[in-house]
Amino acid sequence: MKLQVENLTYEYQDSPILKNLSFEAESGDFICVIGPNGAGKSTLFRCILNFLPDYGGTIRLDGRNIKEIGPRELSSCISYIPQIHRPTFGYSVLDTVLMGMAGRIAVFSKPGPSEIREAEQALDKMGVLRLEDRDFARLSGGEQQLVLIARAIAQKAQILVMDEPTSALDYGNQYRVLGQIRELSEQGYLVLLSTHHPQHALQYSTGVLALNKGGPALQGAPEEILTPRLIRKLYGIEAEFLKTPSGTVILPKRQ
Amino acid sequence: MKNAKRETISNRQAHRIIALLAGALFVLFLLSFLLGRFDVPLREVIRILLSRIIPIRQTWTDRMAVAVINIRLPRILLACLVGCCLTAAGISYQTVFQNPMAAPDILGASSGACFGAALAILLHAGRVGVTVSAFAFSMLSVFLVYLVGSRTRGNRIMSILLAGVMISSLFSAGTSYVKLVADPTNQLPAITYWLMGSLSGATLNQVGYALIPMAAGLIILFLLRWRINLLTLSGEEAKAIGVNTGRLRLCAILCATLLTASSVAVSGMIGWVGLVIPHLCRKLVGSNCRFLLPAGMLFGAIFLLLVDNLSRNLLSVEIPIGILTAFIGAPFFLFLMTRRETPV
Repeated sequence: MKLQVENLTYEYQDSPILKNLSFEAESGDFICVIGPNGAGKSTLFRCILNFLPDYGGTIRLDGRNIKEIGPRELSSCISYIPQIHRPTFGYSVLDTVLMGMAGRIAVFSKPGPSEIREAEQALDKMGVLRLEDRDFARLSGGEQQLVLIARAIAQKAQILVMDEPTSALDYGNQYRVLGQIRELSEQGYLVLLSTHHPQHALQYSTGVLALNKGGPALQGAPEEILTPRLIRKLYGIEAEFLKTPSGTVILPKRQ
Repeated sequence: MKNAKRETISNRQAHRIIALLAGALFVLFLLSFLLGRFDVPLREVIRILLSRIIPIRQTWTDRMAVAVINIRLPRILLACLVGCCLTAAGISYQTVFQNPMAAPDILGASSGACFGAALAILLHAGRVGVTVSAFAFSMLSVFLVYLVGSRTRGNRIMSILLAGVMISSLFSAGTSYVKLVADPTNQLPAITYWLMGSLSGATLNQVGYALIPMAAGLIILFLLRWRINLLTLSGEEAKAIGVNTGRLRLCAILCATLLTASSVAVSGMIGWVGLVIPHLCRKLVGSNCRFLLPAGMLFGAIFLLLVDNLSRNLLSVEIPIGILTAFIGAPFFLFLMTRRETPV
């Protein structure tokens, strides 16, 4: 599956958030979107998910304009994994995943054995099948994030859009979740993920999209794009790039 | 690799609980016919009820038949229906507004109905007039709330709730004014008594009229019972899943309002049922509406039938059921609150 964004422009109250943004991605890509707060990371995602209709430019999926794809069909191509939040009422993990399949379940119907089997397969894929009878609200942040990813997989979309999936997770869970996401992209999913950590992008992504307030966006392979200059430009701080035998470390200087 | 630690109940357990509740309701339904000043043996009650469906040789006196069919049956049916409707409405509102404190009267349906009933009593409308007026004003109040709430900017769910509080207090003020100008010797007591909530004097005809809107709301909600779970997702989450929650939400609100309005119109203000019973059922079967809604419908019917039995037999004078539900409901809710381990 191929995602093309052409000249995407979005203005909010007359000030441009995204300006002439173009990029392409296809199955197997793991694109990290980085940039300072307010650079338009979430806006970009919301345009791709067709939540914001009044943008300029075109977004295509395998050549088709997404505005011409119905919501149900679009949901079978692109899924959205929100930041974790505490639900008001406790649903079991299995029920949470089953909700992701609602687009395929008739209005007056309920999930049957085949849907339950698929939901369990999705949980198994993320390694959290053992949690299926737990209360979603009582899981740790990392577990909740994996369950939400399982929900997106059960939705059968090939493109996974994740808005800062690691922001609420502890140190260990951040890397466990990123590892799982990387595996998904290796299996052929197209992952679009926003993050506040250039280190995550450097270590896990296959491509980086750097959005800069007002300036032009940059796209390329992580080790080419991520430089001390870019860090300075995006975030206004100095950082050192330390090459080690097991990879490069981005070390911000003490301010 | 199944986890030994289970925090939620399985589908089989939920089905079993629902079956148990249905059985309990059936038994309570029959036993309720035995209560009252005039004794009718259980055997005769069953025969009289069956005789309406299949021909049975008469072994009972005509007075027994009158007591069972004309006096006790409508009242028992109405208690079950109102309990069922108020609980279903409560569960729906809680799910739609993602607020555990939401109750059937949250959108002003009850205060609208009270104003309508008080006004009708003031204008000397008959019993039917009071019911129709209560129903009409109830729907009007919810319509106003929705109109105001959807015209505001920002968080729509919050503004609808706020509009509900405002419109409710407007109608309450209206009710107070009607009470002020009502004739204190007969109208004022009638209004006060109506506001307390009561199922006394129910007739089969009345049950028949109330049944139409009630059945419509109950059946639609029952059919949507799995789908309304999706209303607990954020709007964007639901959209990404391919679901139009706007229509679903409106449909759930309309059904819940229909249930509330028709319940309040026939029985007056019966508080607490729609708040306490949903929470009790959440403890029993969890928050998945697929099971919560049927369990709540049954449990609501059981609860109100039980309370109505108390209300007509506890003292020689009938106690308005609204007073009893508050006396039982409020302390019980406080009990649930203080011992909660899970988010209610």
